[in-house]
Amino acid sequence: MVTFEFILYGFAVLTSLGCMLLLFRAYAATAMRLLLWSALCFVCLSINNVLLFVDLVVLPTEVDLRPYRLFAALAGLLFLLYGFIWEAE
Amino acid sequence: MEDSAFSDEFCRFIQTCVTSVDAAELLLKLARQPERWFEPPELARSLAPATTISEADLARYLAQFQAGGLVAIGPDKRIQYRPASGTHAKHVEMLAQAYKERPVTLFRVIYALRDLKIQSFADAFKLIRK
Repeated sequence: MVTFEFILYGFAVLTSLGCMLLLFRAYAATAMRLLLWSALCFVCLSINNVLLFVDLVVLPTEVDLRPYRLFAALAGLLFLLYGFIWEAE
Repeated sequence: MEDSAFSDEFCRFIQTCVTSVDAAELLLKLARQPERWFEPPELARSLAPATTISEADLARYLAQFQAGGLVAIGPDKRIQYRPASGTHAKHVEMLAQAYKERPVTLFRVIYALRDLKIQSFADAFKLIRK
């Protein structure tokens, strides 16, 4: 079970980091601000996933990072919402 | 007017300043009377009934024109066509020409460029670019 969680949450971290890097790369190439906001969203989602990994895999009983995880996810979604509302029109 | 007239520079102008057909009509209306100061509601009304522009869209288009160096906005909120440079004026002349001679092509370009942002978001996730 621990191995399964390690793989699952590890993939979540890698996927969100990959999305973040791809979006920053695209922003550097096109300078479209929608991509910048999306990349910043994935920065927060990466932080969220790293915290999730630490919280549930590395230190499952020692700490409770839920408030920090939720805050990071909220911040990420706010970046994305701002980008889609103000830049995609 | 040939397809080649839609240069990268002209397309960038359309993408930043003329984000819809309504915005194009508004800008051309201003440009036809460069000496005149328009009240914003009067400007919107002058395009009716063929074109109806909401207050929010009107404010957004005028802000785009101002940011693009195409109009001057007075302290009383009235607007006058005032291109910041010869290049700006040339782009508006090209827009007028395209609107008159190649309206379908112009409209397609305007909406294609508007969709470009969403397309660029999708393209960002392509690992290998063609």
